[in-house]
Amino acid sequence: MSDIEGFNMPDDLYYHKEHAWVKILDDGTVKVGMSDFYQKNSGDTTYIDLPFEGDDVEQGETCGKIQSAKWVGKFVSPLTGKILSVNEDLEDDSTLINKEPYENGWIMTMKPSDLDGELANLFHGGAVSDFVKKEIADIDKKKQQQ
Amino acid sequence: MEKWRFLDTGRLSASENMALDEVLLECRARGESPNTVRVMQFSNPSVLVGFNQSVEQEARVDYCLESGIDINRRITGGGAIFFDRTQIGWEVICEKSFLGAGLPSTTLFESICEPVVQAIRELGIRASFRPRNDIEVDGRKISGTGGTDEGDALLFQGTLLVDFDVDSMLRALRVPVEKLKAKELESAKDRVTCLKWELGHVPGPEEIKSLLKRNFESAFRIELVDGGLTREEEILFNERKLFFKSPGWVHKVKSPGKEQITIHSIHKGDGGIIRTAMNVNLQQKRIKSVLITGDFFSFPRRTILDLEAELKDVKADIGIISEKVEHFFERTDCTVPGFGASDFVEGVKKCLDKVEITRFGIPLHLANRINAVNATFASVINDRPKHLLLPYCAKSPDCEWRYNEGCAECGECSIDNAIKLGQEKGMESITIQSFEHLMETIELIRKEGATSYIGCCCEAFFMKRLEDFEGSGMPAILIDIDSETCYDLGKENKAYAGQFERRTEVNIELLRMVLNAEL
Ligand code: SF4
Ligand code: SF4
Repeated sequence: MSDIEGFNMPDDLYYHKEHAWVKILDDGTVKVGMSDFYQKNSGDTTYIDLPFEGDDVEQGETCGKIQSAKWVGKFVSPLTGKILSVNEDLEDDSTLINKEPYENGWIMTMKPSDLDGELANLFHGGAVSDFVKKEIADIDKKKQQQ
Repeated sequence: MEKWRFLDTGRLSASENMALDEVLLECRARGESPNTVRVMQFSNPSVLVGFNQSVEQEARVDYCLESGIDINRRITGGGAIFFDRTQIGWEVICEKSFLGAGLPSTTLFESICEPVVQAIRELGIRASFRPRNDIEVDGRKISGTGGTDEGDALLFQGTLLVDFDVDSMLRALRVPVEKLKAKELESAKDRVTCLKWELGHVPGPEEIKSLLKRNFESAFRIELVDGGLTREEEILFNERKLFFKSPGWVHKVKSPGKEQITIHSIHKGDGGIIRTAMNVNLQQKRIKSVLITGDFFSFPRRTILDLEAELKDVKADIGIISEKVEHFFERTDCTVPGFGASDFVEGVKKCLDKVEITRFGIPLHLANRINAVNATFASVINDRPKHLLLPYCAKSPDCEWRYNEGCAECGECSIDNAIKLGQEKGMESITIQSFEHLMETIELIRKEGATSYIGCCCEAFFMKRLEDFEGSGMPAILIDIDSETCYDLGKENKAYAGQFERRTEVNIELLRMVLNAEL
């Protein structure tokens, strides 16, 4: 576990700029969910429109919706590939995204089609800390302006 | 200084206004449209449900149809709202980077609400932002908000209540008000406010719009230039208008169950009565909204409203709820003389107990008509009560047994069926002839060794006599009866004396469910 400014951003994961995390599994497939940074900022998830199993999606494509108290947000796929499964437990309790963002709050698994090529577009290692710090700085900047 | 567009779209229908939201956001996301502040009005009063809400659960569809109220769906999150013709809608459509946030955080909501707060303050009203992203005056909501995003653009919108028609709102929306009793209407009015109530007059729409414009300019440090739709927006708008009118959009989300059911409970504390009404999301086991009323005063006055806000969207788990409520009273310094945190928790708990009854296969709308005293429903069921107490008011008015204990089981009224149902379960039925007779009967069966009973009486009687029911110490399940009660008819004094002449009905269907209940 790696703590960045109070957010738990595990080192072994890759992060998309729209806040999805990617975990590479042993068989070459990946697991995807939303980061602790996302869930702490947006608050309790009240509803999720899950992506569809079997769909082919592209990196950066919107394939689901995540709603918090007053916001309908998009769920953006962090990689290109086929969706193998989606976490149906989220339909009963979408706050798993908040309670266990990296465990039972996962959203989907995928078979990526160009993993090596696309990982370069995700944040990993030292870059994660820069990414999170910049996001926080942007929020703070706006706060100070007002 | 950055130039934005100020777009006043005037009065449009609900479907047109909703379609435009999508068009403006989409064109902004594609980079084809400028950053925009839009103000809007509606040509008809309208109910607008949130993106993922179901129309049946949120709106009283029949009432809306009869009253010429449009129903539509927003592209943004948040709850259902009632938009009357006087209200002004405002919204910001811009690139996310301008507000420095790709995430829907409280900071973002506050940044966007700030200009509206300032505009209202300029009118001389002490408005402020409430962290659950609404704008309020002294705890009462004056502007509700919600948002969504698309690509690198976001849309955040709100209402501004100008001269609010609360009665229509309460009838059009399924807010947690059980039977729209006058008292509940009044207390619902305590939860919202509008410019007219605060100022004593209604500022003209043009004045309000220019106030909003000026305050967005200064808070965002931008210049707002009046403008219309772009050609692309115009074309897209004409394409989408029809879709936003179609049932495919309006009824996109089908209700998981059927319509929204409000459960209610009554709790008596040292200071008096607390009534709790709430809507729950059964799938997610989450409280959707709560309304707490009763004969109490709170300091500050907004305490109860804040407490209600605190309980919104919370998991329907009594452990979590009591923690929240206790923490609320510790943190805020609020007091409600005669009541402690535990009293409010108890009110919520009694509602959740009714939700628990659904585990026995009893649907929520019927579970709502069951009250358990001195024990939970489940423990009374497990105790297998041996006595069934039935009210004389359900006997035929001309029956010779009407004013005497007993029944000849002639089949003329629902008492006969109730007694037979009891017999199947080996229960002894006793018809109750008056309040005193009820108290005597409870004592009598206790002496015979009874440790619980099942009874039928109207809910008004149960509420009025709650203290006596509780005071008897005997666990019981009390099932509401059907048809007009002596309370509805203003005849409770006659009934007290055992002389009420109308006939009520034992709810046989529900009684059967309760008697057959098993885990
Ligand atoms: S069923 Fe019993 S109470 Fe009803 S009318 Fe017949 S005798 Fe009277
Ligand atoms: S209060 Fe009136 S209506 Fe209610 S149970 Fe008693 S007699 Fe019947």
